[in-house]
Amino acid sequence: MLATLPLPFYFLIGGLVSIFIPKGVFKSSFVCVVPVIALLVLLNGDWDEGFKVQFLDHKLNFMRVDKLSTVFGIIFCIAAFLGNLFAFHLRESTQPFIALIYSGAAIGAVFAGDLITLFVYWELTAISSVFLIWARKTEGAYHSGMRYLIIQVLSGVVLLFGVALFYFETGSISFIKMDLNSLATAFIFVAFGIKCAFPFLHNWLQDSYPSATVTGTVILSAFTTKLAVYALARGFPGTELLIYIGAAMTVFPIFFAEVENDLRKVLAYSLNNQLGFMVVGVGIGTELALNGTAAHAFSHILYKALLFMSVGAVLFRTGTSRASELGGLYRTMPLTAIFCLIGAASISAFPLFSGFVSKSLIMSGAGKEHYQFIWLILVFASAGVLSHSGIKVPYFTFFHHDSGKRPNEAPINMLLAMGLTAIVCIFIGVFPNNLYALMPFEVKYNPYTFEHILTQLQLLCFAILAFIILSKLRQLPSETRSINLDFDWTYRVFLPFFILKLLLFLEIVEQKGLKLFNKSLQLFLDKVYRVSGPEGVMTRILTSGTMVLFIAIVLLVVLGIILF
Amino acid sequence: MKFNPLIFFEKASRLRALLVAFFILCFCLFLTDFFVKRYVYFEIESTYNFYSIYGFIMFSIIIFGSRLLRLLLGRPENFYAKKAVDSEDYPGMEEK
Repeated sequence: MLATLPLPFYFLIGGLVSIFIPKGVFKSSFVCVVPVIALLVLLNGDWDEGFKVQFLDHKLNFMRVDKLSTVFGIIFCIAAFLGNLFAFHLRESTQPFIALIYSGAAIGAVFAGDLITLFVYWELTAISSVFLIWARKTEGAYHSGMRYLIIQVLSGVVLLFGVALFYFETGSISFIKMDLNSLATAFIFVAFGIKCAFPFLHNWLQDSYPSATVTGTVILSAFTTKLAVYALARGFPGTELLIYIGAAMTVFPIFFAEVENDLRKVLAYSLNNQLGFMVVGVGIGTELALNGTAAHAFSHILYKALLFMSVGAVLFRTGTSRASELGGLYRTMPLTAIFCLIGAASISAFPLFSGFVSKSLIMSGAGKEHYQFIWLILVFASAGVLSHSGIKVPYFTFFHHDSGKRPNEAPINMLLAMGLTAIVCIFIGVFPNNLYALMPFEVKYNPYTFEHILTQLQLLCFAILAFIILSKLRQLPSETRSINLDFDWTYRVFLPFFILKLLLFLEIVEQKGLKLFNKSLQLFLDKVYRVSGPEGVMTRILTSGTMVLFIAIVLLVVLGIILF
Repeated sequence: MKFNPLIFFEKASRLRALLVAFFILCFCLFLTDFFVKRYVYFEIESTYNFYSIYGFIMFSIIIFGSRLLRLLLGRPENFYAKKAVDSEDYPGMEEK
């Protein structure tokens, strides 16, 4: 009976109900239970017919359930549960409500069978999630949230424009595989690209995620970008352009992540890098690569949430997530440190951890399709992941030099959320077939071959060796309180500066123009005055006789013209 | 928490032992490549100890490249605004 409702409605209704529950344990429990119920409904429901609604001339499908949407639906429900468990201690109304609406919107978009439904949920994810940034309640967070909202809503507007053109061109609103060969699909592609943090469209990610609340960032990290990956996998699988975009995404964030001081920003860059792997998988578009994308999205959501949780727990206890102010926290936060190490091992793709079994599908996909250069980039990016997420985050937070801080261990709900996530990360790594069983296509791949384990260990261990040697030689980038300019400089500094200068220029032009106009007008009036004024030629007093003579001459001239 | 496994490595000698064990592991991994015939997608992959060398060099490139990046693009925390999130501490130590 429950299964008659589309899945996102459970979240939306749950969110609305949560407003009326008094702050406290019951409210926190309620927001944790909603995703669990939704997950059970998804797994046990009969969705063959979908959930179709007539809207004007169109039949909208709220529940297009197939293997691809199911795998994203499942992980979104799990992420919502874990995120809400991590935020269990909150005693406020906004964030639990927003967390449910936001995750519900993302799930709604995943199951959308048509582009109109997709657009509605696409915008709802933007409008709801910004409150997780504003909940920080500082001026900086407000401005960051505004930038986030503008870019996210822009993505929705571009999508709407693309959908309208698509309908005009094809007469269909079905959300199916598209070819990137028309203006309509180009707009849709760009809309997906904004949310997926394509190069030059990516800065909203590094700007907003570190600006959100401790718990908000954990929720944010799971949905928006992976929704975009899903949308690309659904709409543009096998689009070669995505391979190169994805490869670029895996590379450039590595360098930024390495020198960023705010560890949540490091993780945001790292997220960008991981999205690159998934986008490459979509671009390759073979069954193996698409399985890789889905599997990597699944395991990525978990280990990235785990890393954001552990840094969040540190931020919660110490008030800072700056590498320059942290260090030596393993003494008093050992469990958080261990969970962070598990997240780090998972993202670095150590054998027996989740990243190992998912990333290798994409790498093999690239190898099998003979993309040598791309494959080399992906191997390079794997070493890069280790450098910032695998080593930097745990090392500078929990080890390195002693910051003198002795915070208490994270609250029990945070430990529980981190512990559960860590267990799932290891479970997936040890028993990959459970993950592979969820994939859109049949997986005929065994990650645990001797040579795969050997080569991966060689790559990782020698990268760590380089780290140890460079550390001894004091060549690692120092931890200083600083930021690094990225492409957002163009719209945060250059564009405002340019527009200001342009306005100033226009003002000067206007003033000069006005002055010139006034001067010309004055000259003209002076001339008119000289001609028509009391002393002017035109107003000289003439006698009647002169005028009669003048008219007679004119008449004679006219007569002459007529006669001859 | 009373039992803390991470404190075990606080002692310099134990940490050194851990490092030595790691170096031995690296050495073994390096040697193992002699005896393993790997299935490869590309010719370059079949180079002796390709992964070890590539991992080591690429990691070093990342470190030096990022230092160069900071040299070019590094700015103070309050570059964008006085009250930017970059330069503020987390407000109120979370909502308790």
